[in-house]
Amino acid sequence: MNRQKLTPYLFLIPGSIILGAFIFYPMMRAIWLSLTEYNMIQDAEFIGLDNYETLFQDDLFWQTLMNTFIYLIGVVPALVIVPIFLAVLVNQKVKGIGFFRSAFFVPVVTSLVVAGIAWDWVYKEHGLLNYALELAGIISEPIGWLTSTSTALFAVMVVTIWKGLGYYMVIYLAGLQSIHSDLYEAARIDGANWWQQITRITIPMLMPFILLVSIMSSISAMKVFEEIYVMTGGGPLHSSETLVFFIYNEAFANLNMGYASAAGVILFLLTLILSIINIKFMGKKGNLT
Amino acid sequence: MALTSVNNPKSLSTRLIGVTKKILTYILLILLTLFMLGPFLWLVSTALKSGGENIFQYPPKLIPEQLTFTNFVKVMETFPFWRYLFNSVVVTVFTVFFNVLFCSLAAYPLARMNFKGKNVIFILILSTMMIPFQLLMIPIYIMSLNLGLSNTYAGMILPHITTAFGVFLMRQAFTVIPKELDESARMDGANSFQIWLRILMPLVKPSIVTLIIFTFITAWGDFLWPLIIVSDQDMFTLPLGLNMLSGTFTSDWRLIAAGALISMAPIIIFFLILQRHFISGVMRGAVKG
Amino acid sequence: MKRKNLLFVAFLVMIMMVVAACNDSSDTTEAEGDGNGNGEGGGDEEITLEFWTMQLQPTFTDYIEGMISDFEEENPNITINWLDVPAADLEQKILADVSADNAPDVVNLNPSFGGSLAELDATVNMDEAVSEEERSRYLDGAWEANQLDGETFGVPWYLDTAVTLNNSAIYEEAGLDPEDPPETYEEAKEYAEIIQEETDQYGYFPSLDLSLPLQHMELMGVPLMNEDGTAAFNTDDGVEVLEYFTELYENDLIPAESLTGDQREGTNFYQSGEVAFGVNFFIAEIQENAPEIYENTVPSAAITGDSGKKNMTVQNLVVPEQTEHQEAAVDFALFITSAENQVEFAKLTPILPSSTEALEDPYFTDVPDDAEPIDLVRKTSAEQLPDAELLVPPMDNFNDLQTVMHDAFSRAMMGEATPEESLAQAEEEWNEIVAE
Repeated sequence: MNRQKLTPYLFLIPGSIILGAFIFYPMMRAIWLSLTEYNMIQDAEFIGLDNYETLFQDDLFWQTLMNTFIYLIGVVPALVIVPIFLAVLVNQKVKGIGFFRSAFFVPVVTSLVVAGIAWDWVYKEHGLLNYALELAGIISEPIGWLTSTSTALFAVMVVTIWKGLGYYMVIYLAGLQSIHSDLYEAARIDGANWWQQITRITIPMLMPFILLVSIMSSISAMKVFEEIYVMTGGGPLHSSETLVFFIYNEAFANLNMGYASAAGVILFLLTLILSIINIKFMGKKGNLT
Repeated sequence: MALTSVNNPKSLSTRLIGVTKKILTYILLILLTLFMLGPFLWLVSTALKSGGENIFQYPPKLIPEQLTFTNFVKVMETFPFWRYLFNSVVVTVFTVFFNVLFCSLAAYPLARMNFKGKNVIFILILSTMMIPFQLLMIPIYIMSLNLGLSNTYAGMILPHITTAFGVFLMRQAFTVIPKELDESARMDGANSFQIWLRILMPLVKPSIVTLIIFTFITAWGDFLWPLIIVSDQDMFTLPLGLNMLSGTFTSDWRLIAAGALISMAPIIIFFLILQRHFISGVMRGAVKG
Repeated sequence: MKRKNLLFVAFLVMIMMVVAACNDSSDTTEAEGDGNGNGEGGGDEEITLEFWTMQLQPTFTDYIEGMISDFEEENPNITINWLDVPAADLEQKILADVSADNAPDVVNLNPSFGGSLAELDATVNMDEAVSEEERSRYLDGAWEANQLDGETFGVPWYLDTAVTLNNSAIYEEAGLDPEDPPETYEEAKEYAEIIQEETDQYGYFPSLDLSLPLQHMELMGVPLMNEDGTAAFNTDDGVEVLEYFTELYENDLIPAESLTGDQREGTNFYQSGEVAFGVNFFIAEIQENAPEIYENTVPSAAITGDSGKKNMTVQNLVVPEQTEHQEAAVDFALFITSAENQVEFAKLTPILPSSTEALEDPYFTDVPDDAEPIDLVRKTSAEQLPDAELLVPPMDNFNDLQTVMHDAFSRAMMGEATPEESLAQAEEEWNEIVAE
C-alpha cells in the first residue's frame, strides 16, 4: 500500500530534480532580483517594489506589452488552426508524401539569420511582395513592410507563422495517428462530407493536442524575440519591439538586470494567467481536468 | 464493352472525382511547398555559387552561373569542423535520450494517477516555460559553475534533459490511450513501471518520435547556452563553429549558406526517415481484443 | 482543497526565494582549471591568461596564434588561453562571467561596452597600470578614445576612420564623375537627386544605426552636450540636421532601411548594386561577395558637414578588474598593441594601428600604381587620421542616450512629429536620463 502511494513521486523524481535545479531555482533568483537594483557586476541592492513602480510609468514597457498582445492575437489562432488542416493534408497516403512533409518542416530548421535575408527580399521596397501586389493591381505604390511603424510588427508575425506551421503540424500529425480510421469509415457511410468529418471527428479527438498547441504557441508568442532581433531590431520607433526584446535590452545593454527581471516577472504572471484560461476553456476536452 | 459501361456508370464519375481530388491535392501541396521552401532555395543556390558571382545582386539569380561544390569543402576547412561536429553529436544524442526518458517518466503519473499535489506540480512544471531564458541564463550559469559543470559536456546537456514541453506532450499522448489497457495489465499482475514500459510507451510512438525530433532540433541548434558554459575553444559545438564563418570584417555568404545547409542536413534526413512512423493503425491491434 | 494547494505553493515560493536571496553574491565561485585560482607569490609562478577576441577567426587565426607563441616564448611562465567569441553575444558572455566572478584576463571590446563596464568599476585603470613611456607610444586621439570620466579603461588596439565608397558604374550611368565624389552632406543630397532621376538605384545610404545619429550631429557641427552632460543639441543647427534627413527620407532619396536597418544593411545594399555611395561599408565583405561591384568601387574621403571633422572608431583591449594576474595581463595587452604586431595585423585587413610608430610605415602612405580598391581604402583612411577623432566618446547610460537620438530622427523622418518638436522631446528625455 505504501509503495503505491510513493509511485507517482518516484516517476517524477528525475525530471523534477533537473527542472528544479536548472530552471525553478534560477526562476526564484530572477523573482528575487526583480526586487533589487542589480547590474551584474556589483552586488544586488534591495529596493523593494521600486522597479515595478518605475515599470508602470514606463511608456516603452506598455508599448512593448501591447505589441506582445497583438503578436499573441495574430499568431496563436493561425498556429493552432491551420496546422490541423496541414496535418490532415499530409496524412494521406499519396506518393511522395514524405517529401512534402519534410518540405513543410524545413522552415522549422531554417535558422532565422538565413531566413531573415530571404524574407528581407520579400519585404523590401522592390521586393517580391510589392512586386506581386503591384502586378495584381492591389497597390499602386510600394509599401515599406519592415520600415513602417504600421506594418513592421505584422510583417514579422508572418515570419513567425511561416516558421511555426510545420512545427505544430508535426504534433498534430502524431495525434492523428491515434484516431481510429474506423471512425471515418462509419462517418462516410452515414454520408458525412470532408468538412463534417474534420469538425465532428478529427477536431474533437485531437483536443488534447490542440490544448497543447494552444498553450505552447501562446507561451512562445509571449516570449518572441529572435525574429524581432534579426529582422527589425524592434523598430521603427519600437513599433515591433516585444516584451522580451525590452527585457533583453534593459538587461544586457543598459545593465539593469533588476529592472529587466521585474518586467520578466510580469511577463511570467501574464503567461501563467493566459495558460490557466486556456486550460479552463479546453481542459475538459483536452484531458486536463 | 457495353456491359462494362452499364455496370459501372458511377465508377467513371467517382474515378474522375478521385483523380481531380488527387490533382488538387498535389497542386495544394506544391504551392505550399514553394511557400515553405522559398528561403531554402536561395540558400541552396548561394551555397553552389562560385567566387566570381555577385551573391547579393538584386533581383537575385537563383541559378548559379558556375556551379561548384567547393564551398562545402571550404566550410569544413575553415574551422575544426569534425571536432565541433563530434561535440554536437555527443551533446545532442545524450540530450535527446535523457530528455525523452525523463519527460516520459514524469508524464505517466500526471496522465494516469491521482495523487496529492498533482495539479500543483503540473502547473509548476508548465511555469518553467514562462520566464524568458535571458533572465535565467546567469543564475543557471552560476549554478552550473558551482556544480563544476563549466566547460563540460554535462554542462551543455544537463539543463536540457527535462523540459516542460516534453512532459506536456507525453502527458497528452498518454491520456489518449484507453484506460482499459492499463487495467487489464494490472489485473495480469504488472506493476506501474511495467505498464509504462510495455503498454504505454509503445502506443505513443508517434509522439515519442515527435519529441525526439524536436529535442534534436533544439539541442543541435543550441547556440547561446554552449557559448556561455564553454571556455575552451575545443569544446565548441557546430553552431558556434558555423558562426565563425562571419568574421568581424567580412562574411563570405557562400560559405555561410553552405554551412547552414550542412547543419540542416542531419535534421532533415533524420526527419525524412522518422516520419514513416506517422502511420495510422498504430492503435488498431491494441484495442481489438 | 484548492486553497490548501495555493498556500502550499506560496510557502514553497517564499522558501526558495529566501534561499535564492541568501545565495546572492556570496555564492560566486571560481571555475575549475582556468588558472584563475593561482596563488600569489612573486617570481615566476605559472600563469594562465584568458584572452578573448571578437570573432577574428578564421581569418586571423594564424596571426593571433603567432603573436601568442611569440609572447609565450618571451615569457615562459605564461600560457595564453585564446577564445574567439561571436561579437553579437560577447556582451552576454562577459556579463555572465563577471557575474560569476569568472572574468577573462584580457578581452577585446568595443568602446561603448567597455565604457559600460568602466562605469561600474569593472575594468583596470590603464592610466595607473601603464607607464608614461608606454603610453606615449600611442596616438593621443586613440588613447583618449577609451576614457570615461577622465579614466582610461582600455589599451587602444586598432583604428579605423570612416571612408566613403562610390560605385563608379552607377555614377557613369547617371552622368556623374566618379573621381569627383560628394564630400559634404549638401553634395550628397545633390548627387542623390541626380542618381534618382537618371537611374533605378538609390544614391546615398546614410546608416542611422546605433550611435550614428549622434555622429551625424557632431559631423554637422552640432555639439551634443554641455559640460555637465545635459543636452546642447536643441538649437537651430540641430533642427536643420533633422530637417536634412527628413527631406532625404520623404523624397525617397535614401532607402528607408537606412533608418531601420543595422550597420550591415548599408553594405548589403551597396553590394547588391542598389546604392551608389555611402560611408561605413565593409570593403572586405564587398570584395568577397560582390566582385564586380568591388572592381567598380572608388573610395573617397568621408562625407562631412560644417565641422569638417572625420570620425575615428577605436577597438580596445580591456583588463577586467577581477583578474588575478593584472601585471601579466597588461603586459600582454601592450604586447599585442606593439607597433610591430599592429603593422602585421594591418597588412591582413584595412585597419589602422593605434601606435604612432606603426603609422609611419609606408604601407599606410604609399600605394602601388595598380592599387586595388582595398588598398585605396587604407590609404584614404590613413590620410584622414590627423583630422579624425572619436566624435561620440563613451558616456554614462550610453545605450539609452543613443536610443533617444535615434527615436528623434525616426519621429521626424517618418513624419510623426516636426523636426522642432522631435528635437525638443529628445532634449527632455536626454536630460531626464542624465539626471538619474
